[in-house]
Amino acid sequence: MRTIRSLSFMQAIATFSLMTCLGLAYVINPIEDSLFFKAINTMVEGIYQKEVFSELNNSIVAGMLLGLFTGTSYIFLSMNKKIYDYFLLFIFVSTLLIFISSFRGYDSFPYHVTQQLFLWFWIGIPITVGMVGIWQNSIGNQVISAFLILVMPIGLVGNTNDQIYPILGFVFSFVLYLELSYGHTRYSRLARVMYFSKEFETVLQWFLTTLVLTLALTTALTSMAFLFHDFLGSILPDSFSNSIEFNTIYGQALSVLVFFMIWAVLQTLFSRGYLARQVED
Amino acid sequence: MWTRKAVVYVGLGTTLVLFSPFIDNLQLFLLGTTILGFVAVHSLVNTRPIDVKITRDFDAEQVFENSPVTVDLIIQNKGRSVGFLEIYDNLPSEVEVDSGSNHTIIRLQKEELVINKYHLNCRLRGQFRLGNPSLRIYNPSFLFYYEADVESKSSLVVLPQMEQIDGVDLSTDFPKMYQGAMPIRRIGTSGEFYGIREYSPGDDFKNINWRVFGRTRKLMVNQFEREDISDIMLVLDAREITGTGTVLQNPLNYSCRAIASLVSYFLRARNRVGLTIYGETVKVINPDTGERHLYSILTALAEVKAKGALGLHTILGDLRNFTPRSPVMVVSTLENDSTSTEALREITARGFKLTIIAPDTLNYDRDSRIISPTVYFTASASLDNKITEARSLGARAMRWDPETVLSTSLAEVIR
Repeated sequence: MRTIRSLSFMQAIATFSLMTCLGLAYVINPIEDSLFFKAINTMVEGIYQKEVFSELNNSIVAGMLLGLFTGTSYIFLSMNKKIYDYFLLFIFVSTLLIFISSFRGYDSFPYHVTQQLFLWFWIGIPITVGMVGIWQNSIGNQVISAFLILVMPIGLVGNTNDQIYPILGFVFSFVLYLELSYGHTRYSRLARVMYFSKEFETVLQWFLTTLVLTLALTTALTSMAFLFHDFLGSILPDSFSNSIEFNTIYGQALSVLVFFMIWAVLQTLFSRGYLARQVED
Repeated sequence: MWTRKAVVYVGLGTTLVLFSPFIDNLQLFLLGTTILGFVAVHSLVNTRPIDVKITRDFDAEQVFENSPVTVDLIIQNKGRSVGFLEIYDNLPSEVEVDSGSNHTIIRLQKEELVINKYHLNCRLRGQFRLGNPSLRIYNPSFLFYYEADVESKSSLVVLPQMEQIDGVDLSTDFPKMYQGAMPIRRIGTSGEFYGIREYSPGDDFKNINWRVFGRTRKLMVNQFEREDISDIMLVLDAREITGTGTVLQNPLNYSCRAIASLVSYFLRARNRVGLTIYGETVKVINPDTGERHLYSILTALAEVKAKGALGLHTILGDLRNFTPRSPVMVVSTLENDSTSTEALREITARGFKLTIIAPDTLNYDRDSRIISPTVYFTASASLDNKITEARSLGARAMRWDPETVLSTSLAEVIR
């Protein structure tokens, strides 16, 4: 029973992380700057021949809540194939009717409400897809959801160190979402194979404990990788460390890559396997 | 070893770190760095070499078909603690796990000893070798893994299942008395009491049990044990053709069970029993008695495999050394054996009391679509011909449907 509780806990935390990282992604990149929504806006404008998005409410919270509702509905509906099929048919017919009435110009139809719902649906779609991934153990959905979270809010404006806290929150919750959702998929399958035994419960507890510890260590390592940039700046010649290239994000990227390359070389040299191979040779 | 997830993470992390500067995006850059850092940290978790010793313990090393065997897989950690250790005990395909599991995932502390218990059902006779258990260690986020086999081989002998044969007189008409008569649990004329039965006309008056008559007012006669022993030679057909069918349902398996049951029956009656197996080669186990001899025959039967195409005539040479006029029982389908007619004629000509048991799996093979209806009818007719031919030579021959009890089928042919 404890195994089932732990697995449910993982799902709940993963769902919470999913919502947090999507919310923070829009805090870091405002929806107005999002290339994805700009593209949708252009398409919708082409169809309706008027600015539709500007008249609508682009609340991220509303979109996330709608995504949560849609995802939950989908999961519950999937439990019964018949109801699921009827529901899909209903959605399809409704969508078709909305478009037909839109083109035929039936004014009595509440277009504004449906368009608003469509916009919120698009905002919340990573949550819908991600929830299905978490609660139905679909790795494909998890990957698509993670991809949408990264891609949908991105704009060309960029962001700087001023937004470091929301960025750190996003990174932490994003990695937590990935790890817990993927971990749940693998561990729940293994739990079924192991008949939810007590022995397996200890393995699961070990995973959760180690995940927390490694995330903490990762944060420390990421900070070290960042500090390594300053360290490089102090040991490199002034002409290099004072250059524009070195002091932009390009320089930081190169420093980080150098840091991880040194890490990889040191780990290879000092790992027992490597030493053992050298002795055998 | 890297898992696919680790490769994807490193690829994604590197791409984000290299791509983010182009759109001046610190968010993606930090995410890429964190993912690379996460992989780097995890390369240190649960990836160092381990020292685990695994041994296997059975509750019995020799079992009969369809008997359960309990296996204790003893896992002893002699090195560092292991967070995620997956153990898979490699079993031969012929045995199946009845309860418990030969696959386990555990967490092992330093010097910890864990016993994984599971039960096997051995449905097929044979001498099986249980291979080395496989180990797999994953780090907690499934980024790295390590696989190894631990040296721990064991063998398990599954003897053919034996059926209790009772009430069938398979003894010789020429008991062998020179080794000294000994009582056997069968009706005869010795001094040892066997039981009582109702009087029938012709019974000797001196055998009437007057005390029972006094009590019940019914005429009952005493029966006494019969004393005889004989040499019995059993012949097993292990040619390749006897392996036709499925792994479990084929004439050879049924033949082995029949032989095991007969050997047990004859040895219980203190006869001397020998076994000749022909197929790829001819193997002879000379007649002997006792429990040890029973197990040597059962072990030989466990090892028999359907191979070769030697005919029945190849055993004639060995039969020459066998006590004349003793019973010879051939367990064979006699299929595709051009020498069988000549061999049967010679066996009967030498005065051996010949019995032929032909295990018939043709119905099963047809129903399971292993053979076509045409092949079924041809093979069935051929078998009938062989049986008729054997009977015409004075042999007792029968088609034995393995679904029926052997002693019942034997009783019909011996009648």
